[in-house]
Amino acid sequence: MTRDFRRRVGVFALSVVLLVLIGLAHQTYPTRNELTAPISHRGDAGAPVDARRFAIEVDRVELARAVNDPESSPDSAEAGPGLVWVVVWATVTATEEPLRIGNPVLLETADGYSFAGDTTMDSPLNGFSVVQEPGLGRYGAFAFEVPRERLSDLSLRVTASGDLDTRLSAQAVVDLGLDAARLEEMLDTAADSVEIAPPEYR
Amino acid sequence: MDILPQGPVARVLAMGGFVGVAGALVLTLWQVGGLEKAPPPAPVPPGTEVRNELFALTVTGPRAVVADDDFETRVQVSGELTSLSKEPVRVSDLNSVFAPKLAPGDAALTTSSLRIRFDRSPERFVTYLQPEVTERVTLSWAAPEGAAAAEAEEVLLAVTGAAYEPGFTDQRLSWWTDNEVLQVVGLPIEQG
Repeated sequence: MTRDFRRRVGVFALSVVLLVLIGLAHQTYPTRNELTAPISHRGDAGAPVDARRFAIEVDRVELARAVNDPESSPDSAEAGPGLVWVVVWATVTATEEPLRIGNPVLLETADGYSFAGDTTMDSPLNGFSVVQEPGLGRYGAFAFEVPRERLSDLSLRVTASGDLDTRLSAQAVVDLGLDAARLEEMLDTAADSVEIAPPEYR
Repeated sequence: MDILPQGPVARVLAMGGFVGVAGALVLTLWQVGGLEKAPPPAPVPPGTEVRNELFALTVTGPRAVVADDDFETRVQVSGELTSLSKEPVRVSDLNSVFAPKLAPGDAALTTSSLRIRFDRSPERFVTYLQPEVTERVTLSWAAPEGAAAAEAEEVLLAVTGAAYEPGFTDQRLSWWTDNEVLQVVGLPIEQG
């Protein structure tokens, strides 16, 4: 009786352990988002970042209190209270097929926040009408409206794909190399308004 | 050690007895109304903040406006909206979290016709809410064809909880309603 009882307790304990292990194994199962996430390539501003299907080279970053896109509106868009426009100028070159830059283009901060690039203007590189033809570099801007207090160690995340389906598309993450001190300095000298010119071939 | 009886007949009887008791309990619960859905909260006037997993919203009102906007008649509600996500949220992800109705008559507005404009730049067509940025917004939904909008006296805007889950056909994660009504705001309608 006692041996039988002890064996049952042993089986019960083993079952509990196995159930917990199954639960833990299930936790590690990748979600659909993780299975089909874009394939990311990292690099720094100032040099081309090769994301296989396209390359991106960030040229400079500007801060401004307003942006102006003459292609979409004669009025300039003022940044909201406590916000500032971050304009990132870059050259994007598709490698071997026409690509479109997918939305959202993200500006990521050191404390884990990410902001979507503006989609209300026509001229930014993520504008719907902008197609990256292969082999031809297009120089243009991405514009982000970001709270001033979130400005720290910014990086740009750009995804491009041949159609609207962005699963497993190519992605570049570019460290903009701007620490808090440099951004503070840029805030002090922020332009009143920056014109977002339509992309041009380079 | 065995709790259950050994004989097959006794086992069937024990099982039957258990099912009978459980069934009777559920039946009693149903009879006294315990399986009814909880009634939605009573409508509150504008001004109270409602907070779910996705955003904090204070409908400021004080009235809903039925007005022409881009070639269609839309029902507009003003408020103050803050996304609580650390990532940008697509405005279309908010569709199912709002359930606006016209009263009297209970005509539901199409949830997928939701559009958000920032009051500081009403000409811009907002597609993303940025993380933890509070904006004064106008939410609007297409008004139904016919007399329903012209005769309605009140908008009842139900706000539900939100959950970040895989979709049914598209298994990728996005925001969906959890079907729990957190707040119903009642706003008198002003014909604009």
